[in-house]
Amino acid sequence: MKCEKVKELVLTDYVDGQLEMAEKARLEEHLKTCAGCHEFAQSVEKELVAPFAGLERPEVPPVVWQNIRTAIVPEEEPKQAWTAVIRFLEYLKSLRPALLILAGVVFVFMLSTLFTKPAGTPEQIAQPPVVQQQLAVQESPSSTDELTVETYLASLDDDYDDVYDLAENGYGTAIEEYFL
Amino acid sequence: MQEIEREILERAAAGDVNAFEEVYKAYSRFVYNVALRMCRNNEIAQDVTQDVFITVYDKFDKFRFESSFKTWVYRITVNTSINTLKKGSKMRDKSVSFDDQYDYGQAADSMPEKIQREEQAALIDRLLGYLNTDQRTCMVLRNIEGLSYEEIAEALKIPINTVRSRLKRAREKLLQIRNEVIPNEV
Ligand SMILES: [Zn+2]
Repeated sequence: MKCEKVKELVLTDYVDGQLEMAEKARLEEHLKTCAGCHEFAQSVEKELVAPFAGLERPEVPPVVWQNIRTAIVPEEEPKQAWTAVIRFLEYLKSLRPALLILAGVVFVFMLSTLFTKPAGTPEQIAQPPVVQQQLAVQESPSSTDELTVETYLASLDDDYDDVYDLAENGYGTAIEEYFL
Repeated sequence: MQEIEREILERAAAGDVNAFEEVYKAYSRFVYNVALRMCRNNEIAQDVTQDVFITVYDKFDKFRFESSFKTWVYRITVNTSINTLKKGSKMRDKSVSFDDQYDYGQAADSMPEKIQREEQAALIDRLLGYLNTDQRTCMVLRNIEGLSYEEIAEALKIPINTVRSRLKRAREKLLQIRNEVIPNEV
């Protein structure tokens, strides 16, 4: 084996482990007897093989897979919409004291309207005092009693439902009808 | 790098993300490290890794199961790295940021060891920087990733003799540089 061929093989197939057994044996035989080729092989090993072989191969940073996953999984988009809703709810939660105060104010307002406002329509509410006033001016006090008695007696002939209706509609209407 | 089961490949090809994650786990370190040595920049290597796997996912239906999946990934990795390298001068500004490359996950290491590793990585990156893209590709695949001549030839779609001659010229150049340009540095 000539030195030129040996050096070429040392630079390529020999250091890369691509030589067949027989050829490798012949080459190593040459290296034992030729100082120049031996020195060349040593420097190739030291300068070109060892530094690369000992080189650290770093791990891939985890963010790379996260980015790939985001790019290839389209159904993750609605999930993001959901997280927006959840975030909004969490934002509302953070406003809880303010909401409690608001709810309290609304509750107190509703209670106050419930107790100050009697049942029935505005006309029905307004009429009885007016009628009573009219009665007080136009009639004697006894006629009011008489009226009440009359109404009561009349109601006795009616069904329970009518009594109920009378009560529902208020005495004002009944009194007006009576005088008409 | 281990060969991945055909059943997992088929599920990944059908769009199963969990199966695809298995594929990623098996090949991502190869992809990332090739990109890191080709582009010599940590951030760009991450971008290349992302691009490679998104390409693999998108083109899975074009992969023929008779051929080697590994070779297909090698080829996409090399092509994406080279295309990224070609893309522009702005990358030249970003490259040679050796300091950034070894911060990841090594905080607990002892300092002398870390410095030694960083110096070694910096030296390798400098040496590879003297080579043209073809030579560098062969050196990275052979010396760092340990691919055989045959695997490199298949990945690059070139004859084995071309792989051999590129490695020979690359190494002759590197020996010359070690003797002439930076003999006393390391
Ligand atoms: Zn010789």
